[in-house]
Amino acid sequence: MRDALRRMSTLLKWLLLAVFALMILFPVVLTVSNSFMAEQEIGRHYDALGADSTAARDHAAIRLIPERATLSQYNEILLKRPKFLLHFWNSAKLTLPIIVGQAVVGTLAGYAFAKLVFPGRDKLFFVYLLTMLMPFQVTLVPNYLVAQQLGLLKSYGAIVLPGIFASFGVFLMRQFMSGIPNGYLEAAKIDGAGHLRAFLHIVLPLVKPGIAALVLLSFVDNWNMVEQPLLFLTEPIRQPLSVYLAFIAEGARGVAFAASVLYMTPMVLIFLYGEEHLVEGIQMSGIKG
Amino acid sequence: MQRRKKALRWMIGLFFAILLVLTFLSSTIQGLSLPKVSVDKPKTGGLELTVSGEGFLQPAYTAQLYAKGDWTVVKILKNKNDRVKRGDPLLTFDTSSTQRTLEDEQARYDQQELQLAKLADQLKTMLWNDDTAGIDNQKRDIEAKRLDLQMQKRKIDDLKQQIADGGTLTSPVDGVVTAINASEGVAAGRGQPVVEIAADSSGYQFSVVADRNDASALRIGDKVSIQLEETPRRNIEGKISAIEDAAADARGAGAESGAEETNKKITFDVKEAKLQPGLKASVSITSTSHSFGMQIPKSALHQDNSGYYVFTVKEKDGPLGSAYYVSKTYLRIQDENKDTVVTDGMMPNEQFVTASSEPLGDGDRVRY
Repeated sequence: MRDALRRMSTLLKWLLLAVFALMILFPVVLTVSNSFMAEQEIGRHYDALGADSTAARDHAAIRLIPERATLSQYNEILLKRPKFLLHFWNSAKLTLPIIVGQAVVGTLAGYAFAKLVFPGRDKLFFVYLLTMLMPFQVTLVPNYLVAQQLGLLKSYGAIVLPGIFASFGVFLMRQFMSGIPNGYLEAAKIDGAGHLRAFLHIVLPLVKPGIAALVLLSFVDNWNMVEQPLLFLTEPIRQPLSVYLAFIAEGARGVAFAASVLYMTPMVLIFLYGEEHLVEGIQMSGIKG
Repeated sequence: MQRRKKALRWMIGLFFAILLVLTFLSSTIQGLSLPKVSVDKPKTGGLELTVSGEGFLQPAYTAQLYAKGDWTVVKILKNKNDRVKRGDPLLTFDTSSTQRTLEDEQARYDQQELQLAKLADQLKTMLWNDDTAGIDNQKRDIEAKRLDLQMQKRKIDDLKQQIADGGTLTSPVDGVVTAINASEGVAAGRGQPVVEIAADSSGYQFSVVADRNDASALRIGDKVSIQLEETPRRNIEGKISAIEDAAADARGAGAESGAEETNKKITFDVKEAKLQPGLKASVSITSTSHSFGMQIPKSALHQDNSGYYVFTVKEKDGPLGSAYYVSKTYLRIQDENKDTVVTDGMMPNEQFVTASSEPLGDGDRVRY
């Protein structure tokens, strides 16, 4: 009887989770499947949403199976519109330096906060935490002013530099490093290792999963950023893909799905690659990036 | 797990590699799909107007020779296109019919002479009889007969002259026989010339028909060089003697396209001794129009509701290197000839499209 009940509740949990999973996965599946539709077909299905009000429907028809599967969207976006590629590399140019910088700054600062003892360490860390907890919009204006003072407006530096020194990386690395027993470092010290040696040879290898998590979270965060480029980069041609994607849908619905698929592909691949670290990282930091 | 990771690593690498390759090739790929155009820069200056054509030399004046009587042609001494000198015999007639008339008239003269003798004898008789009234009368009769006799004498002289002169038809001028309307043994028809001779002294002329626009810079009296199709070819100098509308004869009743489209008939005079009628002559006159501007070939010119335009190429610096776009540039046409127009409305260093692999629209991106 109790067995049956337990099995029942497990089944219910499964069902509930399945429904949630479906709800979350559906847009992704829809995007992927619609990316193989021709422009005309997309027009027919979604015209009710667009400016063309001659369509008889007042709601979009959601279809998962293309009437005639075609690669025309990909052809259009990859071969005929090199602009897409340009924006893709813009995204890469923004994201890569931020990730690398954040990993370097995060590990070094994290080591200091976790393993060095200096006056006001915890208070300073608390301030760090505060900036992290504040929504991005709050720091936007100071960010802008600083960038202006530094003459970085309209350049990638205005986005990359604040990204590198974002407090999230420091916070995450400190959490990971706090988990390393102090005894390891004391043993190293006794053997004559300085801070640098201890950092490079003991701490870094131990927080590898943490760095992986940081890279993943930071990648997702920065690949998806919209506000900073919109604010700091005035030239449309320098905008990253995340911003361009919003405009691509305006003129040509036909390629928006393929563009979205290509946009999320690196994220999905990298997520799958570092899946276990990501989960660990999220658990460790207690927040989602 | 390790295999999965390896596969994912490969996929990530492949994804970025493909995008990298596509980016590298993007300009190339896009370039291939663009319409290819050829461009040119307009030449500045007046329009070159060329009038060219050929025609056959026609004598400006033709001497028409008629037979002096209803005679039969005995012998034709010259052929068509023969060059003759003044006084050269052309053909001979059988004048026997006129000879007979002459003999008749001679006989009539003799008769009248006899009658006159008779009247003189009668007068002598009257003087004898002293018939005063009859004498005066007789004297008048004799005087009248004498006048008759004189008239008859002149008639005979005329006929003699006619036989002497007309028996052989001679050329009155230096020139070339252009027509012989006679054959041996057949009576020469009256009312039409037996022989026509083109006189050298009058010169020759020929006409060509040219487009009105092309001919606009020509003036009567302009000296031009005319090439003659002789062997060897040679050029002689000629003169424009007339420029007239050619619409009436060239197009006839079909000239509905308006008076503006009429062609011009240009006549050239050539004066030289050794010319033949019917000789082919050609002329090519190049002149420059009075209008000044950009020269655009008509093949590059398009037309729509707003007028004439050409596609000009503009270079824009794009994210992936410079790109070329065409745009409509409307032109005001000042002047035109067969294949070119002179316009303003363009910059001298602007490039226009002369040919395109696909139909173009305003703002299209092209390659060249």
